[in-house]
Amino acid sequence: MIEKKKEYFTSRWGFILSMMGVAVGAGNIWRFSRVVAQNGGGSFIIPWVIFLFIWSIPLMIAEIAMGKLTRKGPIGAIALTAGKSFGWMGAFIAMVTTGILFYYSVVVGWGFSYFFMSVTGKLTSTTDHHALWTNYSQSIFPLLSHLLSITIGCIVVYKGIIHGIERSNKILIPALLAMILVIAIRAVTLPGALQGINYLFEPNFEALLDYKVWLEALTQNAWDTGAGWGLLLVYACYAKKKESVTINACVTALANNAVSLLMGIIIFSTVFAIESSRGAEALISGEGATNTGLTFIYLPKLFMELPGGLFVQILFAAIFFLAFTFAALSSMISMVQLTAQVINELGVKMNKAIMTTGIGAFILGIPSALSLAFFDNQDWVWGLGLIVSGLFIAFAVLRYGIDRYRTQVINITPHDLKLGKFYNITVGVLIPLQGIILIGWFFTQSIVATGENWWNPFGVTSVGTILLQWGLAIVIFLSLNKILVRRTLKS
Amino acid sequence: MTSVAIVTMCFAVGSIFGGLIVMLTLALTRKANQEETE
Repeated sequence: MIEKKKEYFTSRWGFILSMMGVAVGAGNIWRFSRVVAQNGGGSFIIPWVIFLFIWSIPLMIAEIAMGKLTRKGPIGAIALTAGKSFGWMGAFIAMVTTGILFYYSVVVGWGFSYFFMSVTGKLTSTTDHHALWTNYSQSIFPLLSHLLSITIGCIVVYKGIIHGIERSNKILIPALLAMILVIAIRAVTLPGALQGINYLFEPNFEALLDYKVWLEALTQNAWDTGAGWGLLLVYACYAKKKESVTINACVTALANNAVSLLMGIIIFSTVFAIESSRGAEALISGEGATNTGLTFIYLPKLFMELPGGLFVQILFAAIFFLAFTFAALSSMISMVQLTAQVINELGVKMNKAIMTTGIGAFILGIPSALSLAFFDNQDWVWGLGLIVSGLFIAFAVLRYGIDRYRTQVINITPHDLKLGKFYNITVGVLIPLQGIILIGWFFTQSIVATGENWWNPFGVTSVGTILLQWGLAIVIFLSLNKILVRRTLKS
Repeated sequence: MTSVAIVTMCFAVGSIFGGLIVMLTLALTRKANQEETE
């Protein structure tokens, strides 16, 4: 077994591609386009670009710098920057990302399954894609593909940073980008595609004044870029000292949003070319209005109507689902690494830590693989937990001293971009403000939607279920804070 | 495409892809500088 701490990413490109692997995930493909459609097309794009610069990039810079500074996972990193009494916050960040890993592995498995269904012709031989998805999601196959994906993730992490993570991302990310380019070329050359591109970029000025559009744009950035997950922090532990902080954060964030934009162009071009009379209706309130509905019901149906015959339809669908799987897999690998590293830093040998992560993720992912309601509950609880994780990272920087952090931790790498005092305002004021507003908005929405049942701890998307699960995690980590910090720092 | 859609597209594509190209160029230049120094 390779000793993880002695390894470093061998090249700058290996590091950048691995960081891109973290950021580019399912959210770029299955969430971005439908959220754009539901929030007025171009009206969403404007705040989405703005929030990239005032939420995602500053947090990504903070995370990368923290990883390089402390060379520890979230518990150690927060303890060393914010203070030992705040190690529980790092544990919470790790818990949130691990909670996501449990069901994210199921998503990777769905991608695998639909790729195989594409190449074997099962997707083309049916006309009822809704029934296909329902039958599939209620079968044993999501469980088997969940096992397959978590096994692949564990093998990659077991092989180490250089031979596992760096090497796999050097294959997955260029292949993903190539596949996206191929389907983008096909999509934009479809007759009527320009209408879709126009919809994607044409702003509706009334929607631009709607605060919900701005909050949705912030949410997309918070969930989609990988900022605040602790994943970039973990990879940065293995970055060579000379690796830049700001440039790497910017490249990662911009590449991530470039992929989202390309996927948006692909999906809107295809939707408007095939269903010009309905336009984006199916994405707003129809079968494409949910992540799974868009990816596994609506898009396969559209792919089967593409001009060019069966071969083109199968090829388009297969490339799309392989790209989806690669994007999700590269993110999942980093989640396995984070969880295994946290366990390892608590005193467990790395190979045992990986095995524990794999077995734990498989078992705890089973309910999500078998029940879409459970899946939605976990997505709600830990998805929103990411905003809290982002706030904890900003808090650690504040405790360390923002100006000290900027000048003595971030700006010390030679040849890197040097951050000015605006960074202090962003992390000290804008990020806490955005995070608090976002959590308040989600809670209010949930209370309005669930009515008197808002407190129900077993509701799928209630505030009660969040308070129960977050509360349990926080109480446990607070009571174990001393042990967690001592063991982590000792390692 | 409408003119406002083109303007928004230039804003989004310019800032995202433009920014990415600039950052990648900086990354490459920095690497060259480092190699020279080394």
